[in-house]
Amino acid sequence: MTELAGTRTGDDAVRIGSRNQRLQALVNWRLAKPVSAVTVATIAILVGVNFSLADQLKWTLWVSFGVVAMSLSFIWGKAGIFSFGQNALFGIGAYGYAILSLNLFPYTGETLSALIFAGVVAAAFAAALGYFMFYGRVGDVYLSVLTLAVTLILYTVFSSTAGPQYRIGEATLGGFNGMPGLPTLTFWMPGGSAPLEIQGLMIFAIGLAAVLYVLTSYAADSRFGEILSGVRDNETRMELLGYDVRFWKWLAFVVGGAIAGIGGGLFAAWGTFTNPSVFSLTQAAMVIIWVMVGGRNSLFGAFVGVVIVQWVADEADKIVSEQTPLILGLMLILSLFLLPNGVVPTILNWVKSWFSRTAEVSAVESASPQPVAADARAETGAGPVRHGVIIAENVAKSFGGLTVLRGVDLTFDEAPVYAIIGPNGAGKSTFFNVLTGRVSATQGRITLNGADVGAMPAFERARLGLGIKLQIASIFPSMTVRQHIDLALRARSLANREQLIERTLRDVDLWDRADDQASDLAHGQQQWLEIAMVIAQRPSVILLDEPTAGMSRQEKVRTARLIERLSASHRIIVVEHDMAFVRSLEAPVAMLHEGRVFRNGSFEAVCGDEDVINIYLGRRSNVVSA
Amino acid sequence: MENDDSMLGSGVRKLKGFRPNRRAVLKGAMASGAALLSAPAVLRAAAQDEIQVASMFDLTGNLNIYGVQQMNVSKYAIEAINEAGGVLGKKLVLNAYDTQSKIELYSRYAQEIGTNEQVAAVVACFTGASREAARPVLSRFKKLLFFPTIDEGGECDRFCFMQGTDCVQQEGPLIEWAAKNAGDTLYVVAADYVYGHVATAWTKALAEKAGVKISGIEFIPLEVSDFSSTIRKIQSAKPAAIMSNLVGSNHIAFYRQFAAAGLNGSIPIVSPVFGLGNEQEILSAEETKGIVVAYSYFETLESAENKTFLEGFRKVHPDSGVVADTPAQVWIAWHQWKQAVEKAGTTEIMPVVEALESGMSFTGPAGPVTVDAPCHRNIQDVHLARVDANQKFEIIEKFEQVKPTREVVGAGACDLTGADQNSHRMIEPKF
Amino acid sequence: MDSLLVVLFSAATSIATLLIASIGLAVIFGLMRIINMAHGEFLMIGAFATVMLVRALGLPVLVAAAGGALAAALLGLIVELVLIRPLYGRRLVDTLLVTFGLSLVLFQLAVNIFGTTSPGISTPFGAVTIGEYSVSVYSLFLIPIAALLMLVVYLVFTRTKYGLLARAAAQNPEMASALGVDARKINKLTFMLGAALAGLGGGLLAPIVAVSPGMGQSYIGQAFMTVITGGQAFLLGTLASAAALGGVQNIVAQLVTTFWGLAALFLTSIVILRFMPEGLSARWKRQL
Repeated sequence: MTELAGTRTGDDAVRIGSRNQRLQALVNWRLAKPVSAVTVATIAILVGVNFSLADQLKWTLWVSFGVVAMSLSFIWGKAGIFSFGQNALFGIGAYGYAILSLNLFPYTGETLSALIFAGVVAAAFAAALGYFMFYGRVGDVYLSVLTLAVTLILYTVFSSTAGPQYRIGEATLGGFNGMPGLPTLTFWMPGGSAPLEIQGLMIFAIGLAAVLYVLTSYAADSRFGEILSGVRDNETRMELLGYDVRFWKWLAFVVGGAIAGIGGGLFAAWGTFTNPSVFSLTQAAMVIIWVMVGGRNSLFGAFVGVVIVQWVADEADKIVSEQTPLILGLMLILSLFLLPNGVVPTILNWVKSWFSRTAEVSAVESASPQPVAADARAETGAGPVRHGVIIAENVAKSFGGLTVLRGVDLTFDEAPVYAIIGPNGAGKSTFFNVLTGRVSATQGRITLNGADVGAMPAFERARLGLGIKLQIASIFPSMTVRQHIDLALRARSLANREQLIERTLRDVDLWDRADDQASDLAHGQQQWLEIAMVIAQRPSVILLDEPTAGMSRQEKVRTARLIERLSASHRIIVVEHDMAFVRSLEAPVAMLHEGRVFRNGSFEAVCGDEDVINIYLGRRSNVVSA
Repeated sequence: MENDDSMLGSGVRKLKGFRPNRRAVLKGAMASGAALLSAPAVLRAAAQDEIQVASMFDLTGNLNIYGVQQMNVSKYAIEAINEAGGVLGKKLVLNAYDTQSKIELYSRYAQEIGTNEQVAAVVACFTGASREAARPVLSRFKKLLFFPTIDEGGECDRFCFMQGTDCVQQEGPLIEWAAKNAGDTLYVVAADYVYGHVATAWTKALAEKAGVKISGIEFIPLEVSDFSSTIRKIQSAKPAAIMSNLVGSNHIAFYRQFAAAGLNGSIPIVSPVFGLGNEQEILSAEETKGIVVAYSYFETLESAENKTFLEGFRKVHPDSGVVADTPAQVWIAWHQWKQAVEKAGTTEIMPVVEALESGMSFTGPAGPVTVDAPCHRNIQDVHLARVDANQKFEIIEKFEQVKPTREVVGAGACDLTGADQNSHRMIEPKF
Repeated sequence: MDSLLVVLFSAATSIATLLIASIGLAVIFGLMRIINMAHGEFLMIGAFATVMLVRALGLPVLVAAAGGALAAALLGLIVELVLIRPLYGRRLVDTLLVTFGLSLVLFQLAVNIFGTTSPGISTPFGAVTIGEYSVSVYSLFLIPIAALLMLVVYLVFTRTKYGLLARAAAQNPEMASALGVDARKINKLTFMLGAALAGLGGGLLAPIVAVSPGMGQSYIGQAFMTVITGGQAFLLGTLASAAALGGVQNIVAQLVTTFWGLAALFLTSIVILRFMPEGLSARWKRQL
């Protein structure tokens, strides 16, 4: 473990520590964001009403842009979904407002319903599109292009609705001309309606944006947001922890769609007009430029980005008129080179690093070191011993013309630990992937605790009690150690969650690093963290793929001890290369060769076998086939 | 009076003049250093001897083939009026907006203009789509709008005046010419937005009256430039002539591909929109020879007013290219407004509207124009012209003082001095 | 009979046009995994260069188009050095955005220099009669030109040293560098090649459209869809998807209206991607 040099002494340290802790606590306080949002909104309103009506109009427009930018910040920054089509949802919201307000306003005298409808219809569209994309498992690049295509299609479709037959109730779609003459935002009052004039609309818009911001940041900081962060950082790991990542991405996309739709409704109410140009390629790019400039990891940054870009575009137009595309293009290029994370995160990082210089010192002092649990057997396995059974029957796997597994029969039901070895190309990794569900077998059966899991995807097997640790440490770099376990404890209630987290982290000797960021851990520790995530789910069977890859000798020794401890309450199957490590496991060994089980038995029996040695040395010709 | 580009002297808010040729770079570099505010953001202290007016045109984007010249003429008109003494003794100040071919900017700048209490009148827009984005807003703020382009009808707003010829004024003569000189079948290609659809409805009605059969209709989305399937369908239909209502720079490709297929010699094209963006200069002489159009104004018109107009314009904008009908209508609009204000004695909107409706005549470069009160359109001369071998328009026929139509196709009529006195809407044509 | 023939030729021309417009994007995306949003502008610059060469020097269209390719290649070199290279190793979206910024800049520069529309060049070679129809010879001519272009690109990538190294570096960068391949030089050449192909495409298309600074915009959407639908095999995949999408677009436009043709193109692309998320050529053996 690393030591910080130059630590302060004694009482000073404690005092600084607690003051910084209190400061830290204040900043992390749940209410910080809503309070600051309300403050900023109030200041904006108080300042704004003193400016000209033309300026107030402009800012209302910017607020509606900010809302759609925030929706992209949410789904991109939080969930890692780079959608080129947020403006499409914005446009659908705008048209939704237009259609409903034109139809209902003569009867209800209000358009708030239309604004809500804008959000709803955009969310519905996002739900359909999201289902198509996420449940179809479209890859990242293709997802961006798909959303771009949707935008272009909508543009083409809406541009061609010029005939009078294209109407929904009272509202004619108008094709390229669009739908003019929309009623502005109007509230129902007893005794009549109250349409919002320019100033009223600005105040309402700022207030609405503040509310949306608070709700969205609440979602982003909640468990939902944590899950989305996990999906963004490491989708595979989340899947192996049992999360249905398709659903979570879809849900994030729908939420983003609703927000964008409300922004669109506000936009239509502002302009009293909507037309297909809202679906254009330029508009799609603007949303991305706003978020890039403001910072895609920051919801507030979305608004900042809008203000900066729009202000520059307007001012530039006054100085060097008609060169707006040039200015915007240069802005985008410059921001990519100079401020790749955007304005707000860059500023926040400066502030944070200034704070943390002082906070770092105290953290060392205030965290008391925990003794390493020498024999943690008593601490683990709070429940009864649960060794699961996994059986592979005649499993075969071919990739196109290449046959990798030719009928593997292995039953893991007696010993607490099993090892699988074999030379390169034997099919170890493929067999592992077939067991875990990342790859489906061409033939054969996989049974887990009696259930046939051959058709189940990985996350379902994880839920059934199969713990999987991949070869490369698969963790979430931006999260703390504690958060990893928190995520792994998907469904547990709050009551014993804290205890479970502590117990799990102690099991792997990482309790003293609980609040550190995972990216700060040493390589070996990251492997243990992943194992901790796996055992947190109390799986009955744990599969470990080359767990000691890249470890030092010392770390390997500790890993062997860890596996021994865990085997008291879990069935563990290890795929490994390192023979010394396999020997130290004292487990039955199955050796794979050319896609079949070549030898099966104790370590000494298998590794002393002459044929096995010949295979490993590459002297195939000397082998008498089994 | 200095006519130097960089001076504010004649009361025109300086907008970097944009000219569609290579010298633009040099001129632009010089002028941009001296360019000042193009859009008023905060209210200026209103000078007592000034009247503020506004123009919104597309100076960038794919519709600026129309917008640039419109703005040039707008500026020139204001300068000329100021030089002649202004309006009611006061100087005009033009607030110029570049709407970048983006319709939402029309809506937005209209809001800005609307909230600026000083602006007395607006000459703006090119497409009907942009007009419909701006008009309801301007109307709500009681700002007078003059729309210079040809249009399809339906406008029924007491605060809006339509300068350009309407479908009947243009398509009538064109269809008759086609019937007489080509044959009795017509194939229609039109841009796929409201103007294209309504104009085509008018074409159908007028063709029927003239005994011409429509052998096919096709609507082309605005961003399409591949006309191969259209041309094949035209050849299948074997029409005697083609009516083209194609708009925008992508659609210019139609004339090129049509000529490439060897058809421009055998099937004549008539068009109420060709030439508004000086397409005859962009395409080659071979590709455009023989296309027949109908407008109120042509540069080649011979009259004293036109001569003065062109000479003055060329002094200020020597390289800006041919003045088509729409920019000329901008000039006519400002002068009709000036006339009305001087008759009413004020810039207040209702007196000016009533003055315009009172049947005054203004003789401009296109001949005499008079507002037809019930529909807020001009009674004006319409000329048929044909593109000659030198890519110029050669006038072949003149129709004097053609009355505009008060009818909205399929939807009755608009009577702004009668039943629709307080109307601020567009009647939806049924087509 | 002649009607059918003309329809087929028209479809073939649409496919050829789509191919010519997309191949540059495909090369850059396939080998460098970069989405070049400025592809349309490279096309536009090639078109303008071609027009200038024809009008000023009276060169025949094909020669001038080669000049257009050269101009675009030079620009591509500068862009690769200044904008793309510093962003290696960053997120995919970064290069997408920097090229988008570039497209805005190039568009406006073109407007400043050339004006919004300038006189272009007419279509050469006249027309030919097929039964009762008259068809532009140049539009037919594009079909063998597109085929020839594909053949040349194929030969470049299979027979030249550059081609082999580029494909190796694309498929296995670590291995390639271990073998001593200079990735930076290869990428520079690849980007220039993609830009040159875009410029050539612009030059070939200049005689049939109105050349304007915004013309790139009308091609980028369809080129995109074609390349993505094509998938990994950037040459043959793009060929297959151009055939599918271009064919569908043209036939539907002939049967119904132009609008539905466009809609059909996008819809077909989406359907293909739904069932083959990695593109048409995902499972093909040949990765070219």
